[in-house]
Amino acid sequence: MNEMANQSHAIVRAQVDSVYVAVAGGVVYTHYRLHITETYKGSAGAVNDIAVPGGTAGGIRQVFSGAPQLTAGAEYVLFLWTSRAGITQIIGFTQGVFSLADHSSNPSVSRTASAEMMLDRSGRPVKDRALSMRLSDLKSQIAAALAQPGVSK
Amino acid sequence: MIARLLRRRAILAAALLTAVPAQAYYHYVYYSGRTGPFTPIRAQFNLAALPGNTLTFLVADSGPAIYFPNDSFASVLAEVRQAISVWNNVPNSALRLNFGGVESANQPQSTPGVDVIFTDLPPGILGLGSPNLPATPTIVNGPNGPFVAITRSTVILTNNTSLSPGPSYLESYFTTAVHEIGHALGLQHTWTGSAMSQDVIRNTSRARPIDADDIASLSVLYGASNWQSNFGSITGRVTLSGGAPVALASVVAISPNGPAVSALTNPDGSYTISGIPPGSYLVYAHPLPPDAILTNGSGLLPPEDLGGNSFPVSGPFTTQFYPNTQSVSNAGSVPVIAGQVTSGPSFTVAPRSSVSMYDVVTYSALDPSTRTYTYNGSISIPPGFINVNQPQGVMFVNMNAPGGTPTPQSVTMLGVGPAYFVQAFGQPTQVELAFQIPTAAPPGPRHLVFNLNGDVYVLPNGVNLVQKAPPYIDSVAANSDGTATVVAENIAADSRVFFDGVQATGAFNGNSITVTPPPASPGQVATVTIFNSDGQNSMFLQSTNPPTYAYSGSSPAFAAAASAQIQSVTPQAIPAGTSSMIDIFTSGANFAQGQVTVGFGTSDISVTGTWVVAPNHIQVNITAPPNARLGSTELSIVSGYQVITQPFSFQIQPSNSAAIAVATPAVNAITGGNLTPGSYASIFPAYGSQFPGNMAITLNGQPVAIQFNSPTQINFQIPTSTPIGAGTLKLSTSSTSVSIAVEIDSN
Repeated sequence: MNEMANQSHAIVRAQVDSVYVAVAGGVVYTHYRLHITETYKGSAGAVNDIAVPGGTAGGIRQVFSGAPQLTAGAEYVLFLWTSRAGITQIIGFTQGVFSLADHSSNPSVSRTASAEMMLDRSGRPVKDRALSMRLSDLKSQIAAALAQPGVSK
Repeated sequence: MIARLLRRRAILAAALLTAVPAQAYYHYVYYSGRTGPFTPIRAQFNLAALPGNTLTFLVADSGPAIYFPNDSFASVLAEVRQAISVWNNVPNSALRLNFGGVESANQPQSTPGVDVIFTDLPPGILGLGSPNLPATPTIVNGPNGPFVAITRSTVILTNNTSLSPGPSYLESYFTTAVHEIGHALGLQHTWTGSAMSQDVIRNTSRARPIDADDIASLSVLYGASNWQSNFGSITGRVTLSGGAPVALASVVAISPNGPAVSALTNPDGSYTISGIPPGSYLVYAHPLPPDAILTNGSGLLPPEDLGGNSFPVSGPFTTQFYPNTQSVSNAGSVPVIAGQVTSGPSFTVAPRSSVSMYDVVTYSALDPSTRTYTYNGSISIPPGFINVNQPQGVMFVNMNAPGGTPTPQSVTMLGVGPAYFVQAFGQPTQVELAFQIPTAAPPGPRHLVFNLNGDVYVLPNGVNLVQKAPPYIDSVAANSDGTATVVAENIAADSRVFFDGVQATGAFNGNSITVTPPPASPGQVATVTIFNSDGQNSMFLQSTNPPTYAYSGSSPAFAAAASAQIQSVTPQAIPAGTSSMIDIFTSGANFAQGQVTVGFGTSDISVTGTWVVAPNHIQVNITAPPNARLGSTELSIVSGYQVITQPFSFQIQPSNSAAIAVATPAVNAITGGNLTPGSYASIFPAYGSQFPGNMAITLNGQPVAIQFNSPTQINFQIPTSTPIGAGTLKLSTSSTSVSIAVEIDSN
């Protein structure tokens, strides 16, 4: 959580308003327009469009393993990273997506584990784990992670 | 013993292979209908659409935007080329893969190919690969059955090699490229520790970049005729106790000291594992881990019908060995015979609410002071390595477990025996294992079986047995003759030296290897790594401060100018539907035979031969099909660290009915092989054309004696005085001419 919070440029609670696809450099990207309801890191409203590789456009379907598909109308907590080119993507793809069970003020949130190898700061393998908790607990963890020394706010 | 004999007797009728379709489907799979029988229709490149069955890979000329210090585009290209070569060398595959140089953005091209591009990937993502699947799949009938054609594929590598998996000289960069290229060819994930496995359980290396499971997977798509005669298959079914089929169960044939090859079940629970090397196997069925297929679409693409509707995936169940046992010691041996199908290993499994454990990472702890694997070493090496010549075979296990990390009741290394020490520790919980390994145990990967309370988990290729410590480089020194001497420990004749991502040829001299550094410009600083064939490399111990080699401006005879350039290209264009020899002159290069790759920046142009005439002069034969997209292309030459490119330097022009289209290479009229002085050569027209009448032919400017002349074949004699090496064969009519290079070998 600390590493993910540190590397994120923004952490938001958002609902997917709409979905569209676009092709850039031969890659089909599925774009999600977000309605952000809470911002835990970064500037409020700074990010309202994120891109995930994969999708269908121009008669072509690209499927990149590990790239998640979000659902229009569904709500998420997203850990976001913006490239130098200005494209905002999800950190670690599935790793940075927490699904909210409903639209209540403190819903349960869950996230699957990443199947990518990860190392801790000492280079020791660490297993990313599937997570399930209340939104309030996730927010507390995010706040604690952002309060760590050396973590970008 | 009696029980074992009975089990063996209960197994298994063998049938001829030709009657059964291969159904291993860790591919992109379609079914023609919603009800059985289910015959997989896989997505794959259409070999008939590829010139010479060859798929061309083109790398974006932009390269990564940011490099780790001393990393370079040449190193990146070298890694990509080696990853391409891995899949190109799969035995029994009819698909050939070729590095076609670099390409400009948005290069129009009609021949199927693969684009390797560099983009900003968010932290945590190593690389991506995908075939371009048709949005509306249509079935193409091929010699190996129906398929859905992939028109093109995309491999995405990081735009910043200072982030994981870079820098490019690290082994993980190479294995990532191998994995993503596998996706581009039509392979999805598998769970055997092979190249196409999810990253957490993958156990591949530069020494063993792909495994039997990968070879089987590629062969199912692109196997040459009769490829199955060298392999066997196993068929069966996985059902729940009530008889309901289990869809997308993974069934694995695993040899205690050999490979693991797997398949996923069809919607009716049936499976066929094809491409299994002959031998005796244990067979087990296991559920896919929960991160294999996710509702958010981020995992495996489940099979679909032709309308794009997915087939349901069964839930978790208890893992079982054949015949329906969770004890590996009670598992029956299943024979696999070349060219035959072993039918029978079926499973009746019990559903579970969740899997017991998954995504298991093994690692070893390497002590940098003693350079041994121990229980408290500070360097973690995933996956685990055990040196059989050390008294303790200690390794560690990290896992996901929905119900909390279980402590296995026992852990068995197949072919070796049970761990004598199994201890959970830490938070989050990990498990420490210790094995007593016979010193005579041959090196290589081994499989682990975790016995859990009422369940079993198998980790194929979960640990590597080695017979010595990792290599360690003591020094790298330049010699006056341009070679370099790499003094190192724990090396042998199998050790390979890499300068960044480029392998240096050399000779083993006991405690050192004398190598010829790849051509580079003065001032280039290369990171030097030694890779041993047991999967260990010098970065295990030296990643924080790896040894380097600085190319000086004076000593190495191999150093080239800092900015080599293309001076001339002749001819600068060919019509679509023809072939030609192209003369390329450069300045500042230092080409050596066999170390140069020339590309024309489009999959519509194939390079069919390359000759280094002089350090700054190359000749290549190229060919372009009649449907080649017209326009400019980018010429590129890669030699060692040198990457010489020139956009818009070549053209494909409209086809010309008067042009002579000759197929390359010219072949020996008697043997079909090499040409020698005095031998008879045959040439044939290309792309279904015919040779014009009254065509004159010269070799190196001298007329040749034509023995046979028809519109579809010409035979002539190679003059006995023809020098060895590349010769120029020129075909002329009164209105046009074309030259191709021919290789003349010694008698």
